[in-house]
Amino acid sequence: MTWRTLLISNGGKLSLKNQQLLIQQNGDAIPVPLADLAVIVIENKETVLTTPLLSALAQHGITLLTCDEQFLPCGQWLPFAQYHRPLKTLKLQLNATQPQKKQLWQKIVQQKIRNQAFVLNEMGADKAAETLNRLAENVKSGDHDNKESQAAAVYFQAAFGRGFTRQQANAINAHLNYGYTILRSAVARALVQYGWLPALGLHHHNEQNPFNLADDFIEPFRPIVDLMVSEWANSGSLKDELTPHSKQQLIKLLHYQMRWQNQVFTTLGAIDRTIGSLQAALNEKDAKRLWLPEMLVLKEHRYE
Amino acid sequence: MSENQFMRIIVFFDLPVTTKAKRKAANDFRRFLQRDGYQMLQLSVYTRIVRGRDMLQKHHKHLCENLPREGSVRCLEVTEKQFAAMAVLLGEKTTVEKKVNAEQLLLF
Repeated sequence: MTWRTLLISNGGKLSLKNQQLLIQQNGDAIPVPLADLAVIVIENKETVLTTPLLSALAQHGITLLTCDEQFLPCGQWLPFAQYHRPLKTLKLQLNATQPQKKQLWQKIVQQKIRNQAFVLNEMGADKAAETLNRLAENVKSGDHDNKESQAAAVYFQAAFGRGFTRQQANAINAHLNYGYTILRSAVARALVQYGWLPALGLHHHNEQNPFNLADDFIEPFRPIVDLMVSEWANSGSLKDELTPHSKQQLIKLLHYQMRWQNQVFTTLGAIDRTIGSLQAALNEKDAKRLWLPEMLVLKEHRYE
Repeated sequence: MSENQFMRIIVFFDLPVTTKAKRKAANDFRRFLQRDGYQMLQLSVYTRIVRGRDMLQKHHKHLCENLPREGSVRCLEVTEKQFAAMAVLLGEKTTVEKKVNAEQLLLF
C-alpha cells in the first residue's frame, strides 16, 4: 500500500536514478522512493521529465497529472496492462449482468447520499440531513427513480446556500472541481491497478468518457471534498480562486481519514480497498461484498 | 489505531574495500539500499521510512537477502516518533532528510 503524493510547483528535472525518482531543483538532487508514491501532480510549466521515469511510474502503478495554463489538471498518465490476471477481471466486467450492476449502483448511491447527510450534519443542517437519510433508505435497484439527483438538489442548496448550482462558475465550484479531479485520478489509478477497464462503467455509460467506472466509484468519496470546501465557505476563508495553499489542502484530502469496514484508513487506502472489494462482489454475484467508504470528521490520518 | 504506524529502519555498516572485488561488493550493497528507498544519514548510516509491520518485514527481508559476504552490518528499527527525536549535536540535517520526511504530501 502506497501512501505518498507529490506536488511539483517549482519546476526542475524529474528523472530515474537507482529506481528512485530524482528531483533536481535549485542545485539539489533529492531522491524519492517510487515504492511509496501513489499520485504525482505537476503544475509547473518548466518541469522536464525523462522517458525511463515515465516507464518506472507505470511499473510502480503511480499516476501522474499534468496541468494546463490555469494550473488545472488536464492530462493523466496511467499504467497500461500491469495487472497480473487481466482476462479474469475483463471477463467479470463483461459478464456482469444488468441486475448485478444495478444492485452495485444502488449500494453506491445509498452510501453517497449517507455521506452527503454526514456533511450536512457536520454543518448543522440537521433537517436536510434527515431528508437525505430518508432518501438513502429508499434507493431502489439501479436507482431507477433517481434518488441521487433528488438528494443532490436538497444537498447542494443546504451545503452551499440557496440558489447554488454545480453549473455556476464561482469559487465554490472551482474548488470542488479541483478536489474531484484529484479524487477521480486516484480512483482511476486504483481501477487499472486492479485490472478493470475504466471506460466500462456500472451505471455511467457515456461513449465519449474513458472513465465511466471511475465516475461510478468516485461518488461516495465526493462528500469529503464538499465538507472541506463548505467549511472554508462558512468560515469566510474561501478565496475567489484556487490558491497554491487551497490546492495543496485539496490534494491532502487523499490522506484524510475515512471509515471503511469499521476501520479507519486514509482516503487513498479506502479507495484502494473499495476497488479491491469489487472483484469479490462480481465474482460471488453478491452486492453485499462491495464495501464503500463512510465519512468521518475532517482530519489528516496520521500513522502514529 | 487501525492502520499501521510509521517506523524507521536504520542500517549501519562497515564494509572492507581492500580489493577491487570487495569495493564492488560494498558499492553493490550501497546501490541496493538506494534502490530499496533508503536515504543516507551519514556515510554508512542509511535509513528508510516504512509504514506498518508488513512493510517493515518486507524491507527487512530484502535487506537480509542483499547482504554482502563480509564486513559488519547492523539494523535498528524504531518508531517515527523516536527517530524524529534524534538529537543532532553537530552539523545539520541533510536536505534530503528535510525534504523527504514523514509528510504524506511532499511539496517540491
